[in-house]
Amino acid sequence: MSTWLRLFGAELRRTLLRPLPVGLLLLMAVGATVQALSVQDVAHGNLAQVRSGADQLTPAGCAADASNLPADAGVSPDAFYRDCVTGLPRTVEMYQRIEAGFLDTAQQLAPAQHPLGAIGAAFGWLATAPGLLAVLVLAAHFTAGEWSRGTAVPLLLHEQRLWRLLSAKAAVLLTWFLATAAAMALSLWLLAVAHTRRSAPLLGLVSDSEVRAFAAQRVAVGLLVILVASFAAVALAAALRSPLRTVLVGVLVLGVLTLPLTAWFPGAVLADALRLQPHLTAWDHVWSAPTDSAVPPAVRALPWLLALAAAVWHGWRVRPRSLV
Amino acid sequence: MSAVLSCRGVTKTYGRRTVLDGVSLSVEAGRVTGLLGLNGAGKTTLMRIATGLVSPTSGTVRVLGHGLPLSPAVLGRVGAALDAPAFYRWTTGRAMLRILLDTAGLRDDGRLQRSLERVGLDDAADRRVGTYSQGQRQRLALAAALLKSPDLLVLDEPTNGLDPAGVRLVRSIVASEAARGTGVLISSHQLDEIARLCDNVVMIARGVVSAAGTVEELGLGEADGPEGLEEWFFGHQDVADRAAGPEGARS
Repeated sequence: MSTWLRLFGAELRRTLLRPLPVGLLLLMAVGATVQALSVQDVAHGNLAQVRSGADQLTPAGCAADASNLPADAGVSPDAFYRDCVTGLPRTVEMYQRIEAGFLDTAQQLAPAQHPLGAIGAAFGWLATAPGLLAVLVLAAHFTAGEWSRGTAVPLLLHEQRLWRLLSAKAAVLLTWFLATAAAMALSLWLLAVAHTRRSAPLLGLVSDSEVRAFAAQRVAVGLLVILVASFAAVALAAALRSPLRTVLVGVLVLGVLTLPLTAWFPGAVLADALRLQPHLTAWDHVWSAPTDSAVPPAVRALPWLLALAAAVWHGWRVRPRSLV
Repeated sequence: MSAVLSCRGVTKTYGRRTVLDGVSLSVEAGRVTGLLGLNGAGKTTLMRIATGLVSPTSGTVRVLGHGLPLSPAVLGRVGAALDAPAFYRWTTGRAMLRILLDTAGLRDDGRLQRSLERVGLDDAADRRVGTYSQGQRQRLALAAALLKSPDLLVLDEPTNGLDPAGVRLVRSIVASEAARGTGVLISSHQLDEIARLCDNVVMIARGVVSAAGTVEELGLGEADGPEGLEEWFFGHQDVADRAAGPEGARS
């Protein structure tokens, strides 16, 4: 174990403080902060607007609107008032539906204004498209790149148990994930303290226990995803031994797995496990939208995890290839 | 004398291309074996097989009495400098060697500094590898090979890019390692180096051994000057060419 730790330490020193991982960490932190600023403002604005509109849905509101009716409206104030009052129940119902949707979104975004919730939000980000693409790039550069640059030769002349080298590399990726999650959470929380808690206050929409549950659930799912992603990305990079091929194949696999074909595809499973919001339209473009499947995400994830384990076991047993 | 490296009938094919075809050789403890051949003859592939980096398609390889793949204990007794040395350009030479020590799971009991001093790189050890000349990278590769105090030392063209002082240094290191009991397998295109340094010579042409024996047996020591050495080399190369037939390399 102590020799593995030395190997891990060496890998950490030569990898983590390089421009690429540091740049990606900063990019993720800034990206999460900008995104949070935008969606928290929009969510607060939407909710305030629909609630303000709902307050006007009374006979008195209809009377006020009728009295302000322009002369060329083509309908008399009396007729307008009668139609308005008659349609009030339907309009109120429609506003309530819209408000419920906006409230749902706001409640999902609110925890990011709390230190614990910000950690959960960061893990949610890292466990989907941005984090998975970043880890693919890092694995391509620091694992496949060892072969394409030729630096694998001196390493393998000193350690030929590939699983030790690769597990150290995967552990470094995991460390990068955790450092990035910490940076993102800190950045989100500082943004909330400095700005959005006042300009777009959402935290009051959720209780402390809801914030804790949000954080626990996202951190648990996020940790599992980044653990699997780190090892899978390193294994893919070591198998392909070319940074370009690693990124291309990785993006292709990621793209296929997130196709919105069935609730059993990993993208949909993850969307449900992280309770991504269908109202946050960004996810409809870069990730599978959540589904209404009755099967728990953990059950749907099981076949994929088993398939991955079988692939790793097969690769481990076959190992026919030379090291370089 | 015991063999620290023994290859019997080693064949390596990549697809339909045969790089090595039934190569046999032996490196004994305390002796220096030179590997000669033109570019593409299969020398580097053979050295990669001997160090466990490449699996042979068929044949038997025994390193320090053990078969492939090399166990950590055996690998800990094998030092090698292969190919054009590639290191992390952003690290210093000293940090690079420390990375390799950590990768091997070895403690630095002063061996890092000793290796740097042996190859004459201690003055440049704290400079980034990216600023090294080709000769300095070659010295760093040699220092990396010596980190483990090896019983088998495999050096692929270690004098490439070295100035005369560097060449002399390599020669003295190889001689002192052999005197310590290390078996050395060294490839080079510098025939006079091989003639001066080696006890045994194995010549590979188009993936097969075209000549093998002691320097005396092969008449390498009697070759007169650079031209004589060239004549000796191409004489053996011609024999291999005729043996390979008109198709040339087996592909």
